[in-house]
Amino acid sequence: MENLQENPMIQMFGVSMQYKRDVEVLHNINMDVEKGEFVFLVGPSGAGKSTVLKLLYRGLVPSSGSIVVAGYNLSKIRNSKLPHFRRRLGVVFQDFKLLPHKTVEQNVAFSMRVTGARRSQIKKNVERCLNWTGLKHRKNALPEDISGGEQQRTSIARAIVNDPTLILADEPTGNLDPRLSLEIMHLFERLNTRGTTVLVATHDINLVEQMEKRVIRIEKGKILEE
Amino acid sequence: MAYIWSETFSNIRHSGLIGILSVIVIALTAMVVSVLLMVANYIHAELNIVKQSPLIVAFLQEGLDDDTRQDIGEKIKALPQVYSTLYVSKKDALEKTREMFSDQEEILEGLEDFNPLPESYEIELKAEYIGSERILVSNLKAIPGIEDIQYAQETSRFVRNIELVTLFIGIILGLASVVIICFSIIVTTYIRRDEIVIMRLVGATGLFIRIPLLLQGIVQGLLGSGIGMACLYGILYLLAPRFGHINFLPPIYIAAVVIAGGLIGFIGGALPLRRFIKA
Repeated sequence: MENLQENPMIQMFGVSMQYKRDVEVLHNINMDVEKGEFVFLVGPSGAGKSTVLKLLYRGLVPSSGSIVVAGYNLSKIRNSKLPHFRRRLGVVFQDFKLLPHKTVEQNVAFSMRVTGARRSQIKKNVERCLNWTGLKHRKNALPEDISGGEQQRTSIARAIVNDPTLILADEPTGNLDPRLSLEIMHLFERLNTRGTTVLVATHDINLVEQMEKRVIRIEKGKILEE
Repeated sequence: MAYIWSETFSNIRHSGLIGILSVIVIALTAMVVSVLLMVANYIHAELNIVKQSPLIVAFLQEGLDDDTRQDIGEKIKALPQVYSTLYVSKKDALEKTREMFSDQEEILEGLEDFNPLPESYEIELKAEYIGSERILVSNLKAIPGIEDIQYAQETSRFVRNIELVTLFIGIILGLASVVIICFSIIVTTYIRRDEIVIMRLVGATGLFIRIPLLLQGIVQGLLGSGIGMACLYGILYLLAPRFGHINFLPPIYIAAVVIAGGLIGFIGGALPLRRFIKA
């Protein structure tokens, strides 16, 4: 059964990942994240944080072990079910991954348009998300015409426009200064208080200490401590 | 649906030079195949006229004396399929040729001294034997002194060969078009790779990603073949005052060429998608 509807939002059991025969990127990862939690996945560059996130949105398939996210067993999920699974997630990247020829509003709407949502629903959700991220006044601007912080807020608005139950953020403040980084973290915190589970991968220890949330440390592909 | 069409035309715009090249190659393919089809069609029409007057020509060997020639004529007349015969001497053959090339007499100059045209018997078939010329031809071949025989079947074979050449060239050009469209779709998927990654991440279905790319191939194919047909028609229209009216293809052929262009586009669009668009 793919949709298990179990309690934890994320469960990883004995997950290992090898990119080549003898290069093991992750080794025997066991990790649980409960629904509604805000968790930091912390570690230096190359520790395996991005790989964990890719496994969680099924951008990669583990070499061994099993992963359950939002009730979907990713080891058994069929390709035809992947789009439905991914509509329950919001993914945020360090490089924002905004579409350069679309405006802020179009970038946010894009997530809903590709799921075939109704025009009226798209308009309503996009307006709500732009208001919520403070981007209403920039909705007609192209990504190149707005600041890094605004670009990241656009990418967050795009990630939440489909009302996901889980947000996965991969180094979301990597390209931002400390003030903007904290602003983005507070945005995630506000999302979390509304019930959305948030998992943020970062190497910025200072930022993590300021937020006082649960921290999972990863180094050389292994979970060290919580 | 509006979104899918807007993405399709956006894809075509973004495919740039390679997209334009795809349309041009398909247009040229459609033009070449159409010209070949027109030639085959023209010969078919001429062949039908020939078939209406079932004339078989038996060419005689060089240097036969009068008795042998007459003897051959008698043998031909005696065949059950023959309705009438007409002897055509070398001189008569030259006269006939002169009539055919009356506006270009210079090419026949000097042939009085050395006439290469053979003597022949023109043979008319009895009505009940029309369509079974092959039997008569095999009987004629058995008569000594007959060197060669020409009849409508020969022309049929020629037309069939032209049709085969048309098919062969059509397939080669079609394959070239498929390859170019494949490149066009690959370039589009490369240009739009970020968009496709985001589409996948936010839960777009595979079909939702693939359909605009498939439509892109089909639209390029239809556009190319349509432009090709329009250009060919325009060229024939412009050439008409100089060379006289040239029959364009019948509507069913035009539709077939345009649809074939769309099909080529579909194949060219579908081939790279399995490889480049994964879950």
